[in-house]
Amino acid sequence: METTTTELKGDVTAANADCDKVISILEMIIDEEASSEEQSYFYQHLEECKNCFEAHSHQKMLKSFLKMNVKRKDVPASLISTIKSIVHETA
Amino acid sequence: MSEEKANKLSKEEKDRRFEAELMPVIGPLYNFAFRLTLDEDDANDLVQETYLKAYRFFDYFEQGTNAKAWLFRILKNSFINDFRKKSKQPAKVDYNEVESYYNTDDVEGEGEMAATSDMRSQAVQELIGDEVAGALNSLPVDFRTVIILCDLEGFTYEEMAKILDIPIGTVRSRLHRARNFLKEKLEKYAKTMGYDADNNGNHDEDE
Ligand SMILES: [Zn+2]
Repeated sequence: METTTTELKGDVTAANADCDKVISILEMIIDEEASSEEQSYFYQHLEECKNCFEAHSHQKMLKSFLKMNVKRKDVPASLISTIKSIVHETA
Repeated sequence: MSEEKANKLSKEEKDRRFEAELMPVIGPLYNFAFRLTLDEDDANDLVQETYLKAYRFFDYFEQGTNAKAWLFRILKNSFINDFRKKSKQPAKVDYNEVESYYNTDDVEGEGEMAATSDMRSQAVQELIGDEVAGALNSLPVDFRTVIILCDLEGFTYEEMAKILDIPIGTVRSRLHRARNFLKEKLEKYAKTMGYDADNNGNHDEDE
Protein backbone atom coordinates (compact mmCIF):
# COMPACT_ATOMS: atom_id res chain seq x y z
CA MET A 1 0.00 0.00 0.00
CA GLU A 2 1.06 3.50 -0.68
CA THR A 3 0.66 4.58 2.91
CA THR A 4 3.30 2.11 4.10
CA THR A 5 5.97 3.76 2.04
CA THR A 6 5.01 7.18 3.25
CA GLU A 7 5.08 6.06 6.84
CA LEU A 8 8.49 4.48 6.51
CA LYS A 9 9.89 7.66 5.06
CA GLY A 10 8.04 9.63 7.69
CA ASP A 11 10.00 7.72 10.33
CA VAL A 12 13.26 9.13 9.14
CA THR A 13 12.23 12.70 8.62
CA ALA A 14 9.79 13.18 11.49
CA ALA A 15 10.70 16.57 12.77
CA ASN A 16 8.24 16.52 15.62
CA ALA A 17 9.88 17.67 18.83
CA ASP A 18 7.82 15.27 20.92
CA CYS A 19 8.87 12.38 18.74
CA ASP A 20 12.51 13.38 19.11
CA LYS A 21 12.21 13.46 22.86
CA VAL A 22 10.36 10.17 22.97
CA ILE A 23 12.98 8.50 20.82
CA SER A 24 15.76 9.91 22.96
CA ILE A 25 14.38 8.18 26.05
CA LEU A 26 13.20 5.06 24.26
CA GLU A 27 16.07 2.89 25.40
CA MET A 28 15.83 4.11 28.98
CA ILE A 29 12.20 3.10 28.93
CA ILE A 30 13.02 -0.35 27.59
CA ASP A 31 15.82 -0.77 30.11
CA GLU A 32 13.58 0.39 32.96
CA GLU A 33 15.81 3.35 33.71
CA ALA A 34 13.31 6.13 33.04
CA SER A 35 11.72 8.18 35.80
CA SER A 36 7.98 7.95 36.36
CA GLU A 37 7.49 11.38 34.74
CA GLU A 38 9.37 10.21 31.68
CA GLN A 39 7.33 7.04 31.58
CA SER A 40 3.99 8.77 31.66
CA TYR A 41 5.13 11.33 29.06
CA PHE A 42 6.38 8.48 26.91
CA TYR A 43 3.35 6.23 27.05
CA GLN A 44 0.98 9.11 26.59
CA HIS A 45 2.75 10.06 23.39
CA LEU A 46 2.61 6.47 22.19
CA GLU A 47 -1.14 6.54 22.31
CA GLU A 48 -1.24 9.29 19.75
CA CYS A 49 1.79 8.51 17.60
CA LYS A 50 1.95 5.42 15.48
CA ASN A 51 5.59 5.87 14.47
CA CYS A 52 6.82 6.03 18.03
CA PHE A 53 4.53 3.20 19.02
CA GLU A 54 6.20 1.03 16.42
CA ALA A 55 9.69 2.20 17.25
CA HIS A 56 9.00 1.17 20.83
CA SER A 57 7.72 -2.27 20.00
CA HIS A 58 10.66 -2.97 17.70
CA GLN A 59 13.22 -1.86 20.22
CA LYS A 60 11.55 -4.01 22.83
CA MET A 61 11.55 -6.88 20.41
CA LEU A 62 15.31 -6.68 19.96
CA LYS A 63 15.88 -7.05 23.67
CA SER A 64 13.64 -10.06 24.17
CA PHE A 65 14.86 -11.52 20.90
CA LEU A 66 18.41 -11.54 22.21
CA LYS A 67 17.49 -13.02 25.53
CA MET A 68 15.53 -15.74 23.83
CA ASN A 69 18.12 -16.65 21.24
CA VAL A 70 21.51 -16.34 22.87
CA LYS A 71 21.87 -19.66 24.62
CA ARG A 72 23.48 -19.97 27.99
CA LYS A 73 26.39 -22.30 28.40
CA ASP A 74 26.64 -24.68 31.32
CA VAL A 75 29.57 -24.18 33.63
CA PRO A 76 31.93 -27.15 33.44
CA ALA A 77 31.77 -29.06 36.74
CA SER A 78 35.56 -29.29 36.77
CA LEU A 79 35.84 -25.51 36.87
CA ILE A 80 33.81 -25.27 40.05
CA SER A 81 35.76 -27.99 41.81
CA THR A 82 39.08 -26.55 40.67
CA ILE A 83 38.25 -23.14 42.07
CA LYS A 84 37.08 -24.59 45.37
CA SER A 85 40.16 -26.72 45.83
CA ILE A 86 42.60 -23.94 44.92
CA VAL A 87 40.85 -21.65 47.36
CA HIS A 88 40.96 -24.19 50.14
CA GLU A 89 44.66 -24.69 49.63
CA THR A 90 45.37 -20.98 49.64
CA ALA A 91 46.64 -19.80 53.00
CA MET B 1 43.63 -11.14 70.81
CA SER B 2 39.89 -11.30 70.75
CA GLU B 3 39.84 -7.98 68.96
CA GLU B 4 42.04 -9.28 66.24
CA LYS B 5 39.75 -12.20 65.84
CA ALA B 6 36.77 -9.96 65.36
CA ASN B 7 38.40 -8.10 62.50
CA LYS B 8 39.98 -10.97 60.75
CA LEU B 9 37.93 -13.91 59.59
CA SER B 10 39.22 -17.37 60.27
CA LYS B 11 40.21 -19.25 57.16
CA GLU B 12 37.28 -21.55 57.65
CA GLU B 13 34.78 -18.73 58.01
CA LYS B 14 36.26 -16.86 55.05
CA ASP B 15 36.00 -19.92 52.82
CA ARG B 16 32.45 -20.55 53.89
CA ARG B 17 31.39 -16.97 53.15
CA PHE B 18 33.32 -16.90 49.91
CA GLU B 19 31.51 -19.95 48.65
CA ALA B 20 28.10 -18.86 49.86
CA GLU B 21 28.28 -15.35 48.45
CA LEU B 22 30.40 -15.61 45.35
CA MET B 23 30.05 -19.10 43.93
CA PRO B 24 26.37 -18.69 42.99
CA VAL B 25 27.44 -16.09 40.41
CA ILE B 26 29.62 -18.53 38.51
CA GLY B 27 26.99 -19.24 35.84
CA PRO B 28 26.57 -15.66 34.61
CA LEU B 29 30.29 -15.07 35.10
CA TYR B 30 31.28 -18.03 32.96
CA ASN B 31 28.88 -16.95 30.25
CA PHE B 32 30.28 -13.43 30.33
CA ALA B 33 33.81 -14.84 30.04
CA PHE B 34 32.80 -17.01 27.14
CA ARG B 35 31.13 -14.16 25.27
CA LEU B 36 34.24 -12.03 25.76
CA THR B 37 36.82 -14.61 24.78
CA LEU B 38 34.67 -16.75 22.48
CA ASP B 39 36.62 -19.78 23.62
CA GLU B 40 35.76 -22.35 26.29
CA ASP B 41 39.29 -22.88 27.59
CA ASP B 42 39.95 -19.17 27.73
CA ALA B 43 36.66 -18.65 29.54
CA ASN B 44 37.69 -21.30 32.07
CA ASP B 45 41.02 -19.60 32.72
CA LEU B 46 39.45 -16.19 33.00
CA VAL B 47 36.80 -17.29 35.48
CA GLN B 48 39.38 -19.14 37.55
CA GLU B 49 41.63 -16.11 37.63
CA THR B 50 38.68 -13.94 38.62
CA TYR B 51 37.79 -16.11 41.59
CA LEU B 52 41.36 -16.28 42.78
CA LYS B 53 41.60 -12.51 42.69
CA ALA B 54 38.26 -12.24 44.43
CA TYR B 55 39.54 -14.55 47.14
CA ARG B 56 42.67 -12.49 47.58
CA PHE B 57 40.64 -9.29 47.90
CA PHE B 58 37.71 -10.80 49.71
CA ASP B 59 38.38 -8.70 52.81
CA TYR B 60 37.50 -5.63 50.75
CA PHE B 61 34.20 -7.05 49.68
CA GLU B 62 31.37 -5.73 51.80
CA GLN B 63 29.06 -8.48 52.79
CA GLY B 64 25.57 -8.17 51.39
CA THR B 65 26.59 -5.76 48.61
CA ASN B 66 26.35 -6.61 44.95
CA ALA B 67 28.54 -9.70 44.55
CA LYS B 68 27.62 -10.14 40.94
CA ALA B 69 28.66 -6.64 39.90
CA TRP B 70 31.85 -6.94 41.95
CA LEU B 71 32.88 -10.18 40.25
CA PHE B 72 31.96 -8.91 36.81
CA ARG B 73 34.16 -5.90 37.38
CA ILE B 74 37.11 -8.06 38.41
CA LEU B 75 36.61 -10.30 35.40
CA LYS B 76 36.37 -7.40 32.98
CA ASN B 77 39.58 -5.90 34.40
CA SER B 78 41.37 -9.23 34.15
CA PHE B 79 40.23 -9.55 30.60
CA ILE B 80 41.52 -6.13 29.64
CA ASN B 81 44.73 -6.06 31.65
CA ASP B 82 46.04 -9.57 31.43
CA PHE B 83 44.06 -11.58 29.08
CA ARG B 84 43.68 -9.52 25.99
CA LYS B 85 47.42 -8.95 25.93
CA LYS B 86 48.56 -12.53 26.09
CA SER B 87 45.78 -13.91 23.95
CA LYS B 88 46.92 -15.12 20.57
CA GLN B 89 43.66 -14.00 19.11
CA PRO B 90 44.13 -11.28 16.53
CA ALA B 91 43.08 -7.96 17.97
CA LYS B 92 39.46 -7.14 17.41
CA VAL B 93 38.44 -3.84 15.96
CA ASP B 94 39.55 -1.18 18.35
CA TYR B 95 36.62 0.39 20.12
CA ASN B 96 37.78 3.96 19.60
CA GLU B 97 37.94 3.36 15.93
CA VAL B 98 34.37 2.17 15.91
CA GLU B 99 33.25 4.95 18.18
CA SER B 100 34.67 7.65 15.99
CA TYR B 101 33.09 5.95 13.03
CA TYR B 102 29.78 6.14 14.81
CA ASN B 103 30.69 9.70 15.67
CA THR B 104 28.59 12.14 17.74
CA ASP B 105 28.16 12.18 21.48
CA ASP B 106 24.46 12.42 21.97
CA VAL B 107 22.13 9.51 22.25
CA GLU B 108 19.47 11.08 20.08
CA GLY B 109 21.54 10.13 17.11
CA GLU B 110 21.05 10.03 13.43
CA GLY B 111 19.77 7.04 11.54
CA GLU B 112 17.87 5.94 14.58
CA MET B 113 14.57 5.11 12.98
CA ALA B 114 16.16 3.48 9.98
CA ALA B 115 17.96 1.03 12.21
CA THR B 116 14.89 0.45 14.31
CA SER B 117 12.78 -0.42 11.35
CA ASP B 118 15.19 -3.18 10.36
CA MET B 119 13.88 -5.29 13.19
CA ARG B 120 10.47 -5.51 11.65
CA SER B 121 11.70 -7.56 8.75
CA GLN B 122 10.51 -11.11 8.78
CA ALA B 123 13.98 -12.28 7.83
CA VAL B 124 15.47 -11.08 11.09
CA GLN B 125 12.69 -12.71 13.04
CA GLU B 126 13.51 -16.02 11.43
CA LEU B 127 17.11 -16.07 12.56
CA ILE B 128 17.75 -18.81 15.05
CA GLY B 129 19.85 -18.98 18.18
CA ASP B 130 23.25 -19.73 16.69
CA GLU B 131 22.89 -17.03 14.12
CA VAL B 132 21.87 -14.45 16.66
CA ALA B 133 24.78 -15.44 18.87
CA GLY B 134 26.98 -15.20 15.79
CA ALA B 135 25.84 -11.67 15.12
CA LEU B 136 26.46 -10.73 18.75
CA ASN B 137 29.90 -12.35 18.70
CA SER B 138 30.86 -10.43 15.60
CA LEU B 139 30.50 -7.09 17.38
CA PRO B 140 33.64 -5.37 18.67
CA VAL B 141 34.20 -6.48 22.23
CA ASP B 142 33.22 -3.19 23.88
CA PHE B 143 29.90 -3.16 22.08
CA ARG B 144 29.31 -6.82 22.84
CA THR B 145 30.06 -6.16 26.49
CA VAL B 146 27.37 -3.54 27.05
CA ILE B 147 24.75 -5.64 25.33
CA ILE B 148 25.62 -8.68 27.43
CA LEU B 149 25.58 -6.70 30.65
CA CYS B 150 22.33 -4.91 29.94
CA ASP B 151 20.21 -7.23 27.84
CA LEU B 152 21.43 -10.64 28.91
CA GLU B 153 22.44 -10.04 32.52
CA GLY B 154 20.03 -7.28 33.43
CA PHE B 155 22.49 -4.90 35.07
CA THR B 156 21.33 -1.33 35.62
CA TYR B 157 23.12 1.59 33.93
CA GLU B 158 24.63 2.48 37.28
CA GLU B 159 25.99 -1.01 37.82
CA MET B 160 27.35 -1.05 34.31
CA ALA B 161 29.08 2.26 34.88
CA LYS B 162 30.83 0.75 37.90
CA ILE B 163 31.74 -2.49 36.18
CA LEU B 164 33.17 -0.69 33.17
CA ASP B 165 34.59 2.39 34.94
CA ILE B 166 32.81 4.78 32.62
CA PRO B 167 30.19 7.50 33.24
CA ILE B 168 26.51 6.61 32.90
CA GLY B 169 26.20 8.89 29.86
CA THR B 170 28.86 6.82 28.13
CA VAL B 171 27.04 3.63 29.10
CA ARG B 172 23.92 4.96 27.40
CA SER B 173 25.58 6.13 24.22
CA ARG B 174 27.69 3.00 23.90
CA LEU B 175 24.63 0.84 24.40
CA HIS B 176 22.77 2.84 21.80
CA ARG B 177 25.51 2.43 19.22
CA ALA B 178 25.98 -1.21 20.08
CA ARG B 179 22.32 -1.92 19.50
CA ASN B 180 22.24 -0.12 16.19
CA PHE B 181 25.34 -1.97 15.15
CA LEU B 182 23.78 -5.27 16.19
CA LYS B 183 20.59 -4.53 14.29
CA GLU B 184 22.65 -3.95 11.17
CA LYS B 185 24.50 -7.21 11.73
CA LEU B 186 21.28 -9.13 12.25
CA GLU B 187 19.87 -7.71 9.08
CA LYS B 188 23.02 -8.62 7.15
CA TYR B 189 23.02 -12.07 8.64
CA ALA B 190 19.42 -12.59 7.67
CA LYS B 191 20.32 -11.73 4.12
CA THR B 192 23.38 -13.93 3.87
CA MET B 193 21.56 -16.84 5.45
CA GLY B 194 19.34 -16.80 2.42
CA TYR B 195 16.19 -15.49 3.98
CA ASP B 196 14.68 -13.11 1.57
CA ALA B 197 13.82 -9.88 3.30
CA ASP B 198 11.50 -8.80 0.53
CA ASN B 199 9.53 -11.96 0.46
CA ASN B 200 7.18 -11.38 3.32
CA GLY B 201 4.69 -9.05 1.72
CA ASN B 202 5.27 -6.24 4.20
CA HIS B 203 7.75 -4.46 2.06
CA ASP B 204 6.72 -2.60 -0.97
CA GLU B 205 9.30 0.12 -1.25
CA ASP B 206 11.26 0.28 -4.44
CA GLU B 207 14.84 -0.72 -4.18
ZN1 LIG C 1 6.06 10.22 17.92
